[in-house]
Amino acid sequence: MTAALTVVADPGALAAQPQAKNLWRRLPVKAKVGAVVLGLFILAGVIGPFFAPYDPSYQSPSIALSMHPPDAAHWLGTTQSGQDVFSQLLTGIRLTLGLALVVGVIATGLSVIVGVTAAFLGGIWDDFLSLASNVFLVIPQVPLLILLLGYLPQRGQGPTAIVLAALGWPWGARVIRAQTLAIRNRDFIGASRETGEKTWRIIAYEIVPNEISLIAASFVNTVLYAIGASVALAFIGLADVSSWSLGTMLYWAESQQALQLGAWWWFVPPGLAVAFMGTALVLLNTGIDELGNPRLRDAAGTARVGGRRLRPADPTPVLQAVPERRSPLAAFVHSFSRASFYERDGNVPASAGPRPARPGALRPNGRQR
Amino acid sequence: MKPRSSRALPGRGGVVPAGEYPDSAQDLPMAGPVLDIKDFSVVYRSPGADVRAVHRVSLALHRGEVVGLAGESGSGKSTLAYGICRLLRPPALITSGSVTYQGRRAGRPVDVLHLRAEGLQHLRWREIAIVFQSAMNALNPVLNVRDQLLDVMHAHLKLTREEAAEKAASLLDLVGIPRNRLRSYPHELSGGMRQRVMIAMALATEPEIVIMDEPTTALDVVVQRDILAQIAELKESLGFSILFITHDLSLLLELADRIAVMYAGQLMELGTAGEIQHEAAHPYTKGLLRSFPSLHGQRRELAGIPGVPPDLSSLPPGCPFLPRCDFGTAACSDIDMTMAHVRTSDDLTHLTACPFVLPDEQQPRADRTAATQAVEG
Amino acid sequence: MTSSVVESAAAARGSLAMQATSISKDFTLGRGAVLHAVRDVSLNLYSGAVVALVGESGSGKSTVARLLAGQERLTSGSIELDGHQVNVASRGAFRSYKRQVQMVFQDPFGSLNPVHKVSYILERPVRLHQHPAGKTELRAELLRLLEQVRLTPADKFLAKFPHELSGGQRQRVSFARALAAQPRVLLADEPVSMLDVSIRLEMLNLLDDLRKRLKLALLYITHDIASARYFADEVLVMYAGQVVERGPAEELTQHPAHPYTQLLVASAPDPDKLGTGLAAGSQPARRAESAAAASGCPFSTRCPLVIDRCRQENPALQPVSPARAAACWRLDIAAPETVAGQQERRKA
Repeated sequence: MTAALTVVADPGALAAQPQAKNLWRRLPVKAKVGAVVLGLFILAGVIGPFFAPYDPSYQSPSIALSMHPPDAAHWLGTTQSGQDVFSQLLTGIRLTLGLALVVGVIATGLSVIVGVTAAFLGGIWDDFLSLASNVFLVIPQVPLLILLLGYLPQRGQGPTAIVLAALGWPWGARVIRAQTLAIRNRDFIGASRETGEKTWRIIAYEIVPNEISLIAASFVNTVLYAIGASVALAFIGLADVSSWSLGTMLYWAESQQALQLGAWWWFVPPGLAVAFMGTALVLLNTGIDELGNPRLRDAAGTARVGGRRLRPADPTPVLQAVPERRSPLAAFVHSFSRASFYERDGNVPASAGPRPARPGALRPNGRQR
Repeated sequence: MKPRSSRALPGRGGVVPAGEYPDSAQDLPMAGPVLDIKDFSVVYRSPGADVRAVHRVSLALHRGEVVGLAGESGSGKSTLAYGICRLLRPPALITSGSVTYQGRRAGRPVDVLHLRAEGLQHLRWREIAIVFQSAMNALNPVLNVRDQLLDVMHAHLKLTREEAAEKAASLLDLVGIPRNRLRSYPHELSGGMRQRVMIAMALATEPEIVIMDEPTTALDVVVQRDILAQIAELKESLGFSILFITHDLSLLLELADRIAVMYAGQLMELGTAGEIQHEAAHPYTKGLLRSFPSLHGQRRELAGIPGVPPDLSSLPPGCPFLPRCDFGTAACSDIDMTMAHVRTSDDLTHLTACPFVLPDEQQPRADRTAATQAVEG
Repeated sequence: MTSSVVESAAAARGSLAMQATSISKDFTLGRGAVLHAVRDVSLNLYSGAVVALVGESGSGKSTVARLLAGQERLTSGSIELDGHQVNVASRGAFRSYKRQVQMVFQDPFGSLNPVHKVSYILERPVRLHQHPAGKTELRAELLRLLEQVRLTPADKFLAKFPHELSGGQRQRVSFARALAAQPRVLLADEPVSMLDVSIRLEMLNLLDDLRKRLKLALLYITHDIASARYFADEVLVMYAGQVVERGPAEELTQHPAHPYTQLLVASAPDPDKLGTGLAAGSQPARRAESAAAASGCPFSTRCPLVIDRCRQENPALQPVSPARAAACWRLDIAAPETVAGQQERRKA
């Protein structure tokens, strides 16, 4: 432990570092997992189509390549008309993810504008904007989506993105409005009024930067919603089915009876891709939440001491002198756990129970030189 | 003015005649402190470094005594108080020491650090009660005063409904709230009233020790004085001991029997109120005493303490007060911070962490004089 | 009305900078209820002098500061700056008013935006009010400001975020931000009450030093009457939105005339009363928490000297000595010596 207590001559110099560098380290494990998985999908979406072995729309004339199970030439097999599923998947990820990100950007932008304006201007503005977002919230979304997209003159990515964005902002707007109401009464807002700042500047430079984690969470949420909605819409045929997205893949698989014919390689990959993207986004979202609100972490009871989960109501752990024994592998695995956090210099905290500790045998802090 | 019956000095076998204590079957006079804290340390584990919140504090609380714990924010005074009840949550970790409780209801001394959760549950409230700073946060907003009091009694005492209701009413009498307030909700009470309700709740189980964590800091001075007077009165009649935590040393000088001054998680000085005020032996205590303007008497020369408290995650060895100390020498970065008897004092229990005998007269440093004059001018 | 009755003890320090005459502020609470947060308060601020406004929470002292800062609209009364009526209706007028009058907030942890560096926090007022020519000039001004509040080495602090600073350092940054507009009047709303005891004195010394060097007219708002004694020239004691007593700091704190001021002074912790404990007779107990009276003298519900007249009529400030005034019907009982002195002076 003496090593942990490094002596710094200038205490001011120490404090400057942690923030940015430790952001990744401070991220909860689930957020890290989510970010990595999502990163893989984004990578697949960006470079995937260039690596696609075939043109996803190319229909092989060979009858032998219809509904062919996976092999070395076609890693994920082929469809009924002999198209390469792997190539379709790589192209489809790009389209689905791209659409979802566009929807996320537009809808989050809208919710920030509406939420912050409503809360900061207050009065009639707040009443009007809150009413608008509440109305959008209570409208049943799926029927409206089907209705809107069914009657649109043209189908394609653009209209879908606009309709999804138009319906996706109210939830974020409500959350951001609540947060802005809290920030609005902080002294630093009053102080920037004292400085003589313009209202828009206070909003853009003083309030919004304080809501970054909330906005990020709202963005992730909206992307998640957009993926789900766009896949569902494509699946029921309310999209341009000639382009390749995960939704249209499922649409074609379903319409050509891949399930009945047992062609699992046709519908499982897009389905799993959607599921993994969704999981990654959920993990990222809860992770961001925990980062911004450490109480969630405590409430989740993730702290472990001496191999036992610590509930928030448990008594303060007491350090005991005997280290637990672990095999090298177990020790390596253990070093990733939160419990390892409590163990330095071979000291293991006693579980909350009455294990005999030997006070006096311990001199853990840097007092002895 | 009543003579102080409760000024018990540790180490001299001072047994305080406890007042009437309704619940105690055998009123055995017991030597030794009610609460004995020895070599107690708490760290907050964080990825970068350990934050040494409390470091090797030894302190005893005797029966019927008011011990004041004075310190600035971050000095570890609250961590110490909550740590001895084991109320701190991870990443807090008790790294050394022992806490022994010896109450009249407990047959033999209780080792708090080895208690199971159930035992601790019994110890808190029943034996040791806490009055928090923010009564608004500590009280349940949807329960009225009566239900809150009944809740506490139901959880910790075996009483019939009628007994409990009667006791709730008498508790309010005790803290000076009219009985018609029993049906009031916390938001209907003034800040002072809420704090009184908190005190009533703490006293509901007739604890031996009441820990008060800045109970009056959020209140106005007039109300503060009223409540402190009430606390002192209750202590005289019920005979519990108080560990009073505050940043306001001037308040403690009036209220406490003994005062422990904390800085950077360590004890700096421990002595009776009189010793702290007139014979302060530690430079930090001296600095604190010169920091607050007094309303009564002559205008004193005020100086304050320049500099900032140290970063607890990277404490240099030796005395943590050294960077701000007027009397610091090279040797100070090398001393072991153990509490030792103040050599100039007759009282063997007046302890300080500073190994040097300080000059009587304050010798202002050159850069300090300008600041002092500013206030005078 | 009051400022004409007695001469402020702060007047000797410098010229009149700001004059508030009979300012009031009502808040509508809904369901037709009205809270008179500030009632008929008059005060003058003089260049190079400190006027302290003392009162408990809810006495309206912070509202007075916000009224003077132009952050709230007056219900009635007027504020003059250098003899000109203050008007902050338009943004331009407000901004130029801010060049003269700045406010410092109580909570150094809440008044600095956690996402901005010190350099940004200080840069904004400098850009808005001083219009520096270029980057070098701006930077020089930022360094000068930090040095003015004794945050040295200044260039090191520019790159810091608020969370990297201690409470005292944050409050210094707040001061520097207020000073960046180069104001003549500084309204300090409990500037030290959130700071540690050992830091407070340094901050007050700093404020005092700034007052002297920059000839600031300073309004010091506090609940701690003892600090007002050491720091201020004139003290105004507020209760329930009204000024109940005013006078030179030393005189007022040592010989309070109004029963409320007397209670306030008697309640302040007094280390010299050591050992007497607080147990000894808590006579005014319980009454301390009664609300202010709706009619008559607001203090009548708690006053030990209350008579029927107090419950019916609200007393106005009346002079008790050349520089002091108190609002009480029973001053002859509450402060016999002070009143007797005044009568003798009148005869002479």
